[in-house]
Amino acid sequence: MDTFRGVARLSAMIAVALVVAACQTTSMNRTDTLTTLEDDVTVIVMPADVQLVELTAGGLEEPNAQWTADATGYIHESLKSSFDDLGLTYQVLDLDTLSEQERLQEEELGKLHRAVGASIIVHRFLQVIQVRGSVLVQPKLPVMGDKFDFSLGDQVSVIRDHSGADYALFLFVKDQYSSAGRVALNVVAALLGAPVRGGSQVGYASLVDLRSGELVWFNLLARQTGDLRKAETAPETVAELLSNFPSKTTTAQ
Amino acid sequence: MTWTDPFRSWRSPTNVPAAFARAAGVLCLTACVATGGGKSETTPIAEGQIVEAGDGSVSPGVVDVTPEGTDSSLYVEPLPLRPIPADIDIGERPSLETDEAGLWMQMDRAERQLATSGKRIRDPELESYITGIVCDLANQYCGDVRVYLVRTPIFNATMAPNGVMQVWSGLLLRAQDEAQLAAVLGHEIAHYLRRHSIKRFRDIRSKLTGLAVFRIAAAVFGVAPVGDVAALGMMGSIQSYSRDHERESDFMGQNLMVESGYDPMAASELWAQLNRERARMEEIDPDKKSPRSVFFASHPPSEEREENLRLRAEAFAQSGVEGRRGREDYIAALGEWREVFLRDELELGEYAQSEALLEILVDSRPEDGALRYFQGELYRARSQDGDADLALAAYAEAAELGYTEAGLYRGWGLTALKNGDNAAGVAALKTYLDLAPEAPDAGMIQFMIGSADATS
Amino acid sequence: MKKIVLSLGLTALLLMAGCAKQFVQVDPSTQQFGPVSFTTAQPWNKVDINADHSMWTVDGLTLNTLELTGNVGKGKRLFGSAKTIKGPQFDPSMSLPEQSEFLLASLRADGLPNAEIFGLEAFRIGEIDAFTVYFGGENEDGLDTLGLAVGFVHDEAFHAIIYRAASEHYYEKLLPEVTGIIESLKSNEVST
Ligand SMILES: [Zn+2]
Repeated sequence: MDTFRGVARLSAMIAVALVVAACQTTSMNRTDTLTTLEDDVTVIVMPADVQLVELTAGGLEEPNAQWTADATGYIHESLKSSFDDLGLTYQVLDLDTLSEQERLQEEELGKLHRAVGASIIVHRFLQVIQVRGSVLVQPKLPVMGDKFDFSLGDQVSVIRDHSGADYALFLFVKDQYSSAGRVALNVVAALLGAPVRGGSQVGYASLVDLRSGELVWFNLLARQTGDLRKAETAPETVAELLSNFPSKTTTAQ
Repeated sequence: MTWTDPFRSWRSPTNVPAAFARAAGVLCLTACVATGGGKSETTPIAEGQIVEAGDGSVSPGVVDVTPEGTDSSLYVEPLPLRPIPADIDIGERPSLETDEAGLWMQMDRAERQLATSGKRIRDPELESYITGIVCDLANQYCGDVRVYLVRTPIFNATMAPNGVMQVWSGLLLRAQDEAQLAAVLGHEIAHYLRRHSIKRFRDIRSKLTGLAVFRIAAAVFGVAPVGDVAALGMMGSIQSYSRDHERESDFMGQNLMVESGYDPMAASELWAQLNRERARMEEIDPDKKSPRSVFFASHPPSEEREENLRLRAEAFAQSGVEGRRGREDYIAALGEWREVFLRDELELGEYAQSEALLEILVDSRPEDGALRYFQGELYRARSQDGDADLALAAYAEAAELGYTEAGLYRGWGLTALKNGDNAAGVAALKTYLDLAPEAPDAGMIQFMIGSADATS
Repeated sequence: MKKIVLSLGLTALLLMAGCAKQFVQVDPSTQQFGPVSFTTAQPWNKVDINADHSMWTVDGLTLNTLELTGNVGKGKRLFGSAKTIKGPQFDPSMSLPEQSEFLLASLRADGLPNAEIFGLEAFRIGEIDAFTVYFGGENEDGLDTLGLAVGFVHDEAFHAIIYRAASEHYYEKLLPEVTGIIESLKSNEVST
């Protein structure tokens, strides 16, 4: 079990005051039946949203372009081999092939997807949030319960029509690493008993049915291990992100 | 500082993480205008920041600095008028392994969000007009700076290290001509050309290491205030470093104005106008006086900026520089947006400030009926004793000056009804519906006419 | 481990102090809101921010919300949160169109910077004069948002029920329910 803290303003009304992730990965399926994909489906991978940052000794977040570029490459490589294992054809959506109009629609879709992801994380995984300045503990939605029922609406058709795919996979990863200076400071802090935060890895993957617009699978990753900076260790993170990914019917048994 | 934010990418771009924005990401024009500036002590521009480029004097023969009667502690030497060379190549992108590339990456992300934010003003004509001015000022760097117009009724503009410039609507509303706007655009371009963001980021990074150590000591020994005082001191030192950048940008921006043929005095005038707006606001509502902080004034006091830029402009003038203002072009280019910005200004609910601003704008454009209409709208919204009469007078003046927009009759009618003059109110509201039969509030206005008719 | 204990401790502390809140389920029923009542036809998740202010949602706070904010007195702001742009203050002398201007300006200051109205009508709740307004815009993250609100003044204070949702899928999804809520509004005062 790991603990994460964060301050983020999700909207004018919500602030995430404190994030406590209970376990390394948590996945959700739309229904219990969707543990498998149909045999002849195609899945298009949306360009992964990846960000690697370094925590300086002073606690400043310093984005690292080299790490990010490397990690993006490793992630797509690992995804490709995961797809091979799953018996899926690997294809990434190339934004440059979209028309101006399609590009705008794809952006709208991305924004709604982020809003859906935010609601899932806020109401399923966070322990404390602030709404209009009021503190909410475990902001789960009792009506929804454990039901997983989210949609991106009809606008998913832009991706379906462009790519011919049945599903789209969205990926978001953000890694923080402590700088050497911060590691040293951590040691000093630990000796003195004062808390200084280390690095963390958060991300999510979600699978959207492009025929219905529905999210069929969602997987959250939140932990204090994992390293996307190296080709050798990156596949482990991708495997975690894809854990419990629905398998194809033919390979399910 | 020990709190980090794994979900930051969900935030709105205009709300770039506070610590990060303050730290480095985005340099802005007027933190001090919004939060109260301050006559902080000034630091001379560090040697080496303005690199001498051979005989770069724009105006030989001008050397005198401190005119009689000015407070010499208020400003640093703004002369001579040397060109300030750019610190970045045309089309340059930092190489991947550098810390600068990291900053750019972050800002590229923010830019993608800004591009689709609800705050962005997406009007190809206005965007191309302002981009044109920027291109003119930035010259060969035209392709490296991207302008985003942002609908926020606060006087500000920002420059991110990757060349993303934000121009806030509160600035567009206050600038009186193209040259005044160019003064701010030039200032922002200078931040880019001089790589101020990365310099500031590195400065903060090194100082924050010290800060974290203070924090730990404070936590362990239970003397939190000590940590806070240390933080305050550290921030003070960071801010004074950035004030030097602001001066450099003011001067370089003014140089760019001159090179593009703008009147350099416009830069000083804009600051003079802001100082006047603040003074008048404090006169109207003494409670509005904002606390002035030495530590958090990341920008030189606006009095100093006004004065330095004036001295430089006079020196330019002595050397024969003349420049254009583009006054009517500017107002024409803003078009209908100016009234949107005036509405946004009123919606802040900061009536003393809006009153001061409108006074200044009316002073400068007494023939402009739109400004009178918005004075009427201000009084109608404030609705204190006597405001209804002030509003009615302002609406009448607007009409006299030839202002014919439908909204005038809406405001006029609603004020008259409130004042008990049903006949005038109904007449004005009917005019409104005649002029704007498709208005989204037509149903409501119909209802107002009906109830007034019923009671009269 | 230490951190978990710490955060659990914090959670317990917040709950004990009574300042921490949770969502509760509201089944179809008649609900009181200041001087009026309304009827819901489907289950909602609700959290009370304070006695006059509650936040309702079905799919999550970033997808659809129904916000009930009442008793906004003279000089008060509709959403009352501390931001750079705070939005205007209420004045009891506002006429119905001015109340709608107040609502729209408050929305613009509250995450819908380019909100515009699509329709504004007068509306009666018993003896109370009210307005309904349809609006839309993009939020600060650029998400296209649509909304519908009803507002009125009672006892010198402003009350509003504000529905906001992502324009794609989520707005339509609850529109019949929200329209039903507005149509069911009744004044608690017996008309004479
Ligand atoms: Zn600046």
